[in-house]
Amino acid sequence: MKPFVLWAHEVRRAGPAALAGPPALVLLMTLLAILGARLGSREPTTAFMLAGSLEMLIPLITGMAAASSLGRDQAVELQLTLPVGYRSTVLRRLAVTAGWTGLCAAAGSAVLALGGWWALVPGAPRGLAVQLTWLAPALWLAALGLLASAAFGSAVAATTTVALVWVAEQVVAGPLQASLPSRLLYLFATTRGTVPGDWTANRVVLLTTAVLLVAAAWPLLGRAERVLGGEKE
Amino acid sequence: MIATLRYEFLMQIRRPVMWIVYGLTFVVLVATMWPGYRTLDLGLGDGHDPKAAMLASARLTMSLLAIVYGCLLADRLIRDRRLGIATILEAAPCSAAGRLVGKYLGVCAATAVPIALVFFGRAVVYTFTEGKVETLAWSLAVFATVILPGLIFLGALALAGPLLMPPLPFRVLFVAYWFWGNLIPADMMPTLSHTIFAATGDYAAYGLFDRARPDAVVYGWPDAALNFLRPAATPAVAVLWMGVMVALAAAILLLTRLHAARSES
Repeated sequence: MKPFVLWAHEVRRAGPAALAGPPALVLLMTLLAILGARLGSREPTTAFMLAGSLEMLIPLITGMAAASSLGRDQAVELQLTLPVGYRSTVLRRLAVTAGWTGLCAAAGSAVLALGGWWALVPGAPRGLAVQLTWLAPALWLAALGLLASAAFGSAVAATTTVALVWVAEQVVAGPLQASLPSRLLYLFATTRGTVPGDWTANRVVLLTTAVLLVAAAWPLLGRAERVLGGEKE
Repeated sequence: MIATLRYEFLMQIRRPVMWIVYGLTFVVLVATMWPGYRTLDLGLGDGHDPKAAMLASARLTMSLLAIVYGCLLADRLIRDRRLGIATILEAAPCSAAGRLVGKYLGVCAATAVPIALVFFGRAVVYTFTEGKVETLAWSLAVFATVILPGLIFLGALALAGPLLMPPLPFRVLFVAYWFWGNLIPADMMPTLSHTIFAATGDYAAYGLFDRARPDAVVYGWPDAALNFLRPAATPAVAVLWMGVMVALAAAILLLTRLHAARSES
């Protein structure tokens, strides 16, 4: 029973606003898929917007949520004395928000599959690999958010870092795709295009580097003094 | 009001996190926009003209630094309540409106300091590399007309937004708004970007400084939706844009004050 109580607590702690965001996005996507033609949007445009919501907005949500997952604990001193480690609490917290967002993203991807929209997205893979469209960038930005949050000790700085990376990748898509290393790390390789044949490599590199980012955050999260420092205002 | 302004300004400008994040942003700005940021030439071949160079610098600087500006402001107004000092402040012998305006001016000014440093720093570097002293005058004019009105509006928006929703969704929406409503081309989807309500200062750049578009077409996107919000860029419309920005900021602050007055009673 104990684990369930802990999970339920994390769900309540995340708050309705954070939990309502992803379903609202999927609802908007469904409306767009149904009403897009009536609103005067051409089919490729609608497909681009639907895939873009998955590949761009879902990662933004997970990244920002991960970036603000630390530093809001009221009685962190007490929490550090418990047998449950602080790191596992943080991971459970991340699993709740990221898992919920992921579920919603899978539902959104089903909307695209049902309407046959994936076929209209150039560069989108076939079959199960299509889920990597959102999974890889979402995990990468979440890992970046966790690392920034652990390194800066401030939700403001961490969310700004995630926001900055997201906007920068949107604004300078061309130059970032010009060289191989930044192309492999580019987050929006499906919707903004990539070199043919590089898509799978890009997704694999994103997933691997996400693991590295979490590994870098791990020792920082383990230091009680840093955690006790609280949010630096 | 002056005391609040001074206090909030100092509190924000001494925040190490602000300087760290702006520093990182500047590194990202230089790294990602390198050839363009070095020549200040956005594909027009006019990197040697101080006026065009300063407009390009303003555009590049704002595209990324405005995000930091908004995110750093987002927690300032709700901070008093979260720390439990709002009630003490209300007992102070000064008007609540004065405190709100002082806080707004103080934190916005402090958070805009790094943007001004980056922009004027680039202008000084340009003055030396190109040997044109008039650059400094152009940079002052561009900052006051292109960058400042946008910052006035964004400051009020970022300060008041978290009153309506928690800071986390607000930041997500703010980033999405900045990209959707200011940076994307107008004919990509229905958007506020390049309209009179966009905060990027396009109207001042085109209307007051005769900036030419890369394709040398007059200001306008024939196929874009919401085109009634995109009048031709004349000097009068540029002044109107500045007025719209200030009026929107004033309206947001007024709503904030009313909101606070309601939740007090």
